[in-house]
Amino acid sequence: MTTFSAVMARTWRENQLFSVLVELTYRCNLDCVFCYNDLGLRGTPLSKAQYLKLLDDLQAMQVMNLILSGGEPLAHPDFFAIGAAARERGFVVRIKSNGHALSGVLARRLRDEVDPYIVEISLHGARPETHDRQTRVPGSFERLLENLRGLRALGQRVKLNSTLTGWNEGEARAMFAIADDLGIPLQFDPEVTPRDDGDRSPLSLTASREGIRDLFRLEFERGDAAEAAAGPRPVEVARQADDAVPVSTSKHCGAGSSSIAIDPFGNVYPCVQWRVASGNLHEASIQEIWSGSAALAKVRQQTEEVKGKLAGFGKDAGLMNFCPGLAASRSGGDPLAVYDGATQRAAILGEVQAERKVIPLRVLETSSR
Amino acid sequence: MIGVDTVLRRAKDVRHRLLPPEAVVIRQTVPEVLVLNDVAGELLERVDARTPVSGLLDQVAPLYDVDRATLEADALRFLTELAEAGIVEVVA
Ligand SMILES: C[S@@+](CC[C@H](N)C(=O)[O-])C[C@H]1O[C@@H](n2cnc3c(N)ncnc32)[C@H](O)[C@@H]1O
Ligand code: SF4
Repeated sequence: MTTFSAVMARTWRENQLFSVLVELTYRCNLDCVFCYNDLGLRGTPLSKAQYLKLLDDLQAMQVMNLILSGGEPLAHPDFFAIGAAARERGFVVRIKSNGHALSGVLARRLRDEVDPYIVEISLHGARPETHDRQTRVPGSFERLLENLRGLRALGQRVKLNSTLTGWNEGEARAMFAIADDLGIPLQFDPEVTPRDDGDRSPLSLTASREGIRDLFRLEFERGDAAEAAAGPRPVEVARQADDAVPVSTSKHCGAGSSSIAIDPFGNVYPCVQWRVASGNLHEASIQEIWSGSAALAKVRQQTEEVKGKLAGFGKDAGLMNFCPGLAASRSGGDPLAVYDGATQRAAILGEVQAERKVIPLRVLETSSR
Repeated sequence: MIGVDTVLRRAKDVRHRLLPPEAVVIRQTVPEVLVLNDVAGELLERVDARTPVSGLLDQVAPLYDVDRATLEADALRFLTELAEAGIVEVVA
């Protein structure tokens, strides 16, 4: 019987678009100090009619996953119309939200009208002082906890994402405790990335080497405890296309071959972290861009070259969580340029693994984008 | 018992896409993902809470170079499995 992983690997090989991340708007009700969004980007926002046409096209292309992000996706005036249309067209919808507005009527409407598979919400710390310092909105921490409890009470599946920063690195354990208390999984991304316009100022929030090492130790510790308590972990099904595909393919990732990202002005990119201009929906349909874009064709080729290059790093390659998009943004355009964050991550993970007797085969998913 | 006169609908939490020669089905509430063969996928695609199984067979038959009796037997087996897995529900 064919496994889902094998189907996913095929989508990578055959350039079958499977996951689309749509940044509906860069408007936001929070103001995170390290936010990667390029607020200076200008263009004509896609209209509601254009979004509906896009959804029709993506459905016809048999795209399964639709990720609505931003900015704050709920800040888009047509969020519910677009979300409901996505549901009607049979997409598995993921929402990436800061959770700030997700209470009361809005939370119920989200569940009833959009029926997302999951709502992914960002947590920035374990204390109001830390969370609110990063979001720059006083009271956002307390409000988030209340909203998370409300979403759980509604039966909405929720996941927490957190980027480890120099400001919250001492609170990782306490953040896990909050998540455990709420019964919500929490996933950390140890890497702060530059802004999408190339501005590197967010990097000043990068977590320390010790902070990243402590996070990895904590994650292994928690993984061990969970396994001891529950026996072998159940196979996680309903994996998304942007996850690692544990079946051999010639590509490093599905950027531009199985997944793409679209910004509020209709610009199409291979990935939310790999912003190579690949076409614009004001000028061409998504089918035309998908099959005709020279930029996407080049990216598909480059994901193969990356795979070849990383093979030279042996076992470290798997520990790097190398992202060609970040490589390109950090090096001024070269997706093959191995960057410090990747080598540092491999070194730290190597150290933490060496402290342990066994080398786990578990793939740590890391990007919260 | 699912027969040619049975009318089916997809369960509310089912999401599916055709990726020939397979189809992928995700059940959101469980959650779980299943990979179907293309005949089962094409049938599932056409399940609409109105058309009886015989009508689904009429639509799918031109896609396959197989006699009607074989197709019908396969289809009833697949649809029964889908019903047992909670992916389709009997309407009438
Ligand atoms: C841009 S936000 C969009 C969705 C929503 N507004 C939110 O904050 O969750 C997507 C994710 O990226 C994270 N993020 C933002 N800027 C980042 C950066 N420079 N480096 C790493 N993660 C970042 C956010 O914390 C959030 O988890
Ligand atoms: S990270 Fe999300 S919540 Fe924070 S400012 Fe950016 S878009 Fe808004």
